[in-house]
Amino acid sequence: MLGRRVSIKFCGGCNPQINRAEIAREVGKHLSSHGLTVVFNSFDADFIVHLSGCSSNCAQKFSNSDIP
Amino acid sequence: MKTAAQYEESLRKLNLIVYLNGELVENPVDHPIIRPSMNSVKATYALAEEPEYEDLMTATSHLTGEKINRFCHLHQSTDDLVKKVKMQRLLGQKTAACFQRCVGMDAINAVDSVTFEMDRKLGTSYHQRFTKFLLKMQEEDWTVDGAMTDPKGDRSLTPSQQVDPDTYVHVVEKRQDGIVVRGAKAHQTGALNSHWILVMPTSTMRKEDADYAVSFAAPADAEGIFYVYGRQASDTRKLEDSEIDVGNKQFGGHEVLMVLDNVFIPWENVYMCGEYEFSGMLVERFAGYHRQSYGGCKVGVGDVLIGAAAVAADYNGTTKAAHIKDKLIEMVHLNETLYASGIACSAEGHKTASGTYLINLLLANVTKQNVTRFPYEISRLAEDIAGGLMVTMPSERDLRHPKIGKVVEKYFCGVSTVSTENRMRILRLIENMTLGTAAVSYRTESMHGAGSPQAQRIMISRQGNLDHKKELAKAIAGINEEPL
Repeated sequence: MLGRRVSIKFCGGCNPQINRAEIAREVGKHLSSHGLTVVFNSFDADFIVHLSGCSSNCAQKFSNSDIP
Repeated sequence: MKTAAQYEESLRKLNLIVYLNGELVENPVDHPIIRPSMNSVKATYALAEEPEYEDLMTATSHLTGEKINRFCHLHQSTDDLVKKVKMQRLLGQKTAACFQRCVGMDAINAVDSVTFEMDRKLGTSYHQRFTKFLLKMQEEDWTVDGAMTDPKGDRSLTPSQQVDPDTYVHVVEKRQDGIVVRGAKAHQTGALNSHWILVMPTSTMRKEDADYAVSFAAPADAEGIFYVYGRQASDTRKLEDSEIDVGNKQFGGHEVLMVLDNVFIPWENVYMCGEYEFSGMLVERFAGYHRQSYGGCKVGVGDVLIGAAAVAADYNGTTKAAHIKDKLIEMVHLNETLYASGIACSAEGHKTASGTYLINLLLANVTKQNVTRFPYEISRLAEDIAGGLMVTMPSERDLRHPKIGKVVEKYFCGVSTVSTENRMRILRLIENMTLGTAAVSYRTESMHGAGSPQAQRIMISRQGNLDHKKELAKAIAGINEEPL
């Protein structure tokens, strides 16, 4: 896994039920501690974490990516 | 899939017990008061046969891969949710009435995801049973009546506190082979045009009301079930063999009281029996889907009413008046606002654990809240444009009378190039939709169907995310709430 890129992709955040920025920070910290490179909203990555503020899950819905 | 003719024939095989106006109805399918409502449901089969409507009216079963009527489908994507609303608008346009089949579609979608999640938490096996029912429903292309609303008795009391326990449907006996249920479901739209009923609890139940947390399917003509037909304004005009006075000769809707008098339900058709903690979720999801539905069906009916008002203006000779143009614009604006909400709650839908897609509940409730208001304003504007003649003109028999007919022709002619008969036809249609039999679905059902306005306000309050909005305002205003 070392050196792999993980992209955290956000939804638009129009009506978030959660604090997306804080969750992204925590997830990013955790992934970095395992040697992964964390980027944001990029498709140039080995994995994507879709981070949506509500159950509409727009981060994934409008992602148009087949990256796991 | 069934053809429209096969659907009608299948209804004739049912042994429904129906009371209408104090009499037992021998043949509901051909009864002149009931038949227009059957024609509306029949349209859901007929349009599915038309290539130009195939994309909206049919879907691919996720269970079998077969082509099925969309009314038997579980939504597998937000695209399915959007197509549902578009299909409903289409059917509203084609019938100018309630076509009744949505309630069953909304029920199967709600029961599917809730039984799945209930099984996962409680280790029950309801979802498997329900899927067997769904397979049969899709195979037979059944119309299913989703039955939720109980008569409710004294609203200040819970189900188990009611003087008469039967005011809410409840389990009266549990046997080795099934359960016996008693009670009634009120306002049952399209029940007489349905092959099966799918019963759900009417509200969130508590532990003491566990016997009322019950969901099951039963044939519409199961032993112990009978129906009492609901009256509609001007309904007996349908008995007069008139074509003009009824306003909409071909299509209509209906509601009935469905009485369940000690009905036996085998376990294989039971999908909730005492799991009160999941009753609220089932009510919420069914109501959400049904509130979405109104963003399609009422819009389609609204299209017809707006068109009728515009034709009335043409026949009255008022088309060029600026205020008439403006009123028609307002009607379109209101109608399209409803549609926009219906599409929005569908596009913002999401996948549930069972794989079935659920609408965005906040937006679905906003849709329905608007539906409790806009059709009334659209109706008011239609009456304004139509003029008072829509409620004061003589009957079709007067028009056809050898002597009086000439008087009617002479004095009720508007624009000279249009026949008085055509003017009467369009005004009667407006009367039918705003005050007559169709007003049941276009007006009062818009108010109370899928839940009365306050029910949506409670959901909007729960889902409105006011805290987020407060934070936005504080950020803009530069408010720092560090303790002083």
